Amino acid sequence: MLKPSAMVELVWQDETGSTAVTQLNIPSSLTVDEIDANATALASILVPLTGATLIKQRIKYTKAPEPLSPASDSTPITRTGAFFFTTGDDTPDAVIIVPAVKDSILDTTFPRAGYGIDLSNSDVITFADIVTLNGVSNVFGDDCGTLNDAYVQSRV
Amino acid sequence: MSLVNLPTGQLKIDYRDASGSKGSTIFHFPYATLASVVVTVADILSAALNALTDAAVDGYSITYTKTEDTPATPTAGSRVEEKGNFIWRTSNGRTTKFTIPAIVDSVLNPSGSIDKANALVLALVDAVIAGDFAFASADGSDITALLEAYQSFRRSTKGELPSDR
Repeated sequence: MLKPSAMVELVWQDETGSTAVTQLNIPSSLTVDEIDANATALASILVPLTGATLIKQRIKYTKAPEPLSPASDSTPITRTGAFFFTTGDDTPDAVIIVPAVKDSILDTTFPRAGYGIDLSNSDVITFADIVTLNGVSNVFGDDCGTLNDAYVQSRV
Repeated sequence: MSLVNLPTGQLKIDYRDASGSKGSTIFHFPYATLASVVVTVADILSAALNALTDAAVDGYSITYTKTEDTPATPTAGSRVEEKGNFIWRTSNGRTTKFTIPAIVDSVLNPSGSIDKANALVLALVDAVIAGDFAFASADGSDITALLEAYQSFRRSTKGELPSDR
């Protein structure tokens, strides 16, 4: 469930290049287009009140907090799994980083033992299917295709 | 001069490991994707990620960003450290606040309070309270009145200090 309020952030830049943000709450039941219309209209009223200039607008929905569950063991957050999805012949791959990857999804056979992620693992296949079937894309909006490779990266 | 959306929105799923350190997974989706659709996918992805990570999934946020393609030139001498603070009364008797960086001097009283009779301020108040805007407090309560408005200054960060000092 989402928090009852979404956040609108208007980012302003002053003469020195420094930036600051005006944050406003708005019901999360509204669509992005509806919130965008509110933000645009309010920004037009704020512009004469500031010497800074508007450079960016963000609309952010946040999931409501739930009771925190404990992390299952001591795997550090910096041991990540990098999952590479193809997006087409001429478009960049999408890279999805998962922190604290489980030992149970790692390859155990040469030559990828210990660093390669087992692409035939059922949990990995489930994850890849969800990514490819639900409109996830790379940063340019190209849809994710097949999971091409995955391996462990340390992000210390 | 207009705000232009990025090609994609962003879904950020947050984690916490046993030491309390935090991390995240970033997904992108075409900007036109409805937030309600992304929420559904985010819940499914969170469950699937639980099977891949030893960290605990704490929650997620969904962000749609637009950037100004040709920003206007800021006013000479404008500084974002100088804030206009607007404190609003809400329908449940609480307050909510937003700030306007680099507030213009023309709306300030000599004391540093903001002139509530100034035409620009009146236009803002009318728009927030009586207008068609849906802005509210964090708990969803309607904004009903302007309670206080004043100038304040926050400390400059090192990066905001003059380069020729």
